Amino acid sequence: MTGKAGDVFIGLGNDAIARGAFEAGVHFAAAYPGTPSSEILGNLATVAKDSDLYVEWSVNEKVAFEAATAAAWAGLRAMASMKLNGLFVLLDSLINIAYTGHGSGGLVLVVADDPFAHSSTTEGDARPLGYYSDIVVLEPSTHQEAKDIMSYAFDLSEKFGIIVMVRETTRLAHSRAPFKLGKPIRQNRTAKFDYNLPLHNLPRPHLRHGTLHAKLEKIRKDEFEKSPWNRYDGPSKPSLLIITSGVAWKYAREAVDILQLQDVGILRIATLAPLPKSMILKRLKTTTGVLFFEEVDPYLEEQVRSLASELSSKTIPRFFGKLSGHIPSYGEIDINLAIKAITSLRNLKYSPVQEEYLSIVKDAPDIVPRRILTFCPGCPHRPAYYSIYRAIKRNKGKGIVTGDIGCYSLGVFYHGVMRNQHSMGAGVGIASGLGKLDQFGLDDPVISVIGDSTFYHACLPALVNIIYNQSKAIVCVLDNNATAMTGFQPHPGTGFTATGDVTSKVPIERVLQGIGYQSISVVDPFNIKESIDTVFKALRSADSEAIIFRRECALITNRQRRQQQEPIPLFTVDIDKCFGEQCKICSVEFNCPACVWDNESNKARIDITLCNGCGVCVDVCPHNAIHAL
Amino acid sequence: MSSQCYPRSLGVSKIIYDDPFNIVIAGVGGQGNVLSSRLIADAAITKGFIAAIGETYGAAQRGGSVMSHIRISKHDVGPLIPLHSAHLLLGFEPIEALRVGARYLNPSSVAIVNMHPVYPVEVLTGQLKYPSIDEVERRLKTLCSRLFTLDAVELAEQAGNPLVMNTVMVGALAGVDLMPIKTLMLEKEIAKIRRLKEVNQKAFNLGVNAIKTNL
Repeated sequence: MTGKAGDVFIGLGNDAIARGAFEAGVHFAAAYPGTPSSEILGNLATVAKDSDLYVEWSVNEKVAFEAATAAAWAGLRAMASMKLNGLFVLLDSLINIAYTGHGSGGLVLVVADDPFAHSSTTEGDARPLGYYSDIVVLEPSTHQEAKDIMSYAFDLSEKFGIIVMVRETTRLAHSRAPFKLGKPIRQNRTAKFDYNLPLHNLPRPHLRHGTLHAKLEKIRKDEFEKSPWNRYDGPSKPSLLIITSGVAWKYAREAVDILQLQDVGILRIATLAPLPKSMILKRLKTTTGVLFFEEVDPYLEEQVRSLASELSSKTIPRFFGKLSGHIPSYGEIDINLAIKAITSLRNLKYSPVQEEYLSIVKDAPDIVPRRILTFCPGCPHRPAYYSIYRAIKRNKGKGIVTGDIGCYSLGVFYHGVMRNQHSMGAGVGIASGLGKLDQFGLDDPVISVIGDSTFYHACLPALVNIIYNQSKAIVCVLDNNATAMTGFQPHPGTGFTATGDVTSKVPIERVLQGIGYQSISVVDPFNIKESIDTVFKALRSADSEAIIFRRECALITNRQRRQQQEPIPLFTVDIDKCFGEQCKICSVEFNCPACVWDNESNKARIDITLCNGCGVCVDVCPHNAIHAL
Repeated sequence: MSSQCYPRSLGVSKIIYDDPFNIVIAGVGGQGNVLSSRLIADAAITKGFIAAIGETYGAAQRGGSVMSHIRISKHDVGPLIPLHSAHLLLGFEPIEALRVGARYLNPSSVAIVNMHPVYPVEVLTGQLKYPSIDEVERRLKTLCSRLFTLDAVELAEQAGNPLVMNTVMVGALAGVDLMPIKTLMLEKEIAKIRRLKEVNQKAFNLGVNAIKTNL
């Protein structure tokens, strides 16, 4: 972030976007963390104090975007960055603000899609949502472009008074490559409120809709039809034209290189909405076959197919892609899929290795055991889930646990304790509904498990709903004092801001009190007995109860121990007391990776290289076989 | 694409194409996979190449498999290596090397594997079995032209800290001397590490020597 113009820096696509925004003179940046987008604001936060830049971790993406809108309204350059799911959260605001405009400042939205859902619960595509919202959509293909396109995005937003979305995917966001730094243009602007510019669509929203369409049409004609951001490589009359965007462009290029095809052309489109129709139509006329190679949804494919209806039937090429089945309609795409599609269209044969080798390779990994995800050793979520698991067992198996998004999502792998997992806050809404089904004969108790950052993000309306409609759902907040899954970003409960400044805390229990929760218990999940009893009591009561499991993330504790050179407490198993095979509670039921099962002695053993010294296993063992060293 | 990078020593015949030069690192969260791939890429960039790194580390902290693709090229290539097109596999863990090797190795590739296991949680708790190391080694051999094995954790302990296993492996990578970047360049990158500085340098040299004595 602090490099000099001309320096070559090797970094993530997200580093490039952050640097690009900084070079573009962004004044106001807001975000909510979400993989693979979190590093963008994280980076900007590192330089905020030494420049005229304000950054914040907002409580959620909708608020981040609205806060950024305010800054643009006052004439500043503002941005909001998020993962795709964040765009889902703010869509209503986005569409409204697109209609009204946002004043004289620049408003840029960076959205990171996660094809294959590496770190997400769904796949999805921001491009059609940008198109649907009537905003501009740009997508860079390289790290250099990711940096450079940010300045263009701000310029465009200010020139036309339009919201500009920059879309990236995981393989740009989280891959590293070199990019050359430019000179930051820092504009010292004064925020001014223009009282003559109300931002509302009344009295006739539909007219605003029309104005917006006219604006997009002007951008298409004046900017995108001849935009240098789009490029074509290949012969003037390619036998096959590949239309692509983003990182997929690199895959397509490499596939064509590997297959050594001279007659294939590649059209890379970076200005995805509004699409440069005339330019695309011209290209369609030069070929008889088009392959669409794009990440997630067939956005270009559907748009271009519909555009082609403007051609005479003789000049319409054949179209191949996700809709024709040549490219899978789900998952991540790569060079291999590009090669497969091209070879099948051209009747070519290609394999990097011989058939014989492939047959050896096929069976080689069949002895490899799977590696499921689990809570870290010493993680406070494990004993919290263990308590819920034991309490439900004690309650004769009755207790439905709804889940949410965060590290504690791994509860789905913890004896299947967590039954569902959807979007941020959804578990509470679902619990609220489940808690009202007794009149239809379902009176099983319901526990909604949420995290601390999630609590502020999207749980509050559903929690109010539980109290207002007297649902019997219990809420368990697993408060580890961090947004741990995405890299320990602070949140309203931590008392710190994005730039590390001390701020007032918004305590979870006081919010719950304010909502109307009568029974709020705060327990330390490391105190297993109290935790199990508290959950059990809640399961038996017929009230809306709240339990806060409070214990800091083990990784934070470890970091502090390292800094203060404090040793990790050591524990050991007394072999004589260990019940062995017939028990296995520490290892299989509590399921801590540091409670290793020793197959030779058929007893438990603590692996001190893995153990983080929480000592919960001491209380988990019913035979007093584990003790501190 | 040019084909200048790959040395023809060691009886390694020509691989599909040599620019980009493809290295895949297979390991488990917490092994320093990401750091090593950055270090190799930094060395390549210092040498005038354009390096790209593709990483899969969404759940790295939580016991999952982690894979890095490093591509050294004169061109701006994508972050992912095509199937069976890795010139080198750096395996930080035996079964991860086998899992990833089966997708990215080819009969001409070379694999360098730390044979010190990191057990999956279900193995630790006795629910699943970890295969015998000999069997993993036998299978790895069928996947590549030459397999180098070492206990990089033991060597890291010798250097002073088991955590620098990744530096031992980068040393081993330098030791096979099959890359378009040479030992000295990697050594310079290792020297830039501030934490456990001397331990890292020692670990690097132990890695280099572990391979050289095997060549």
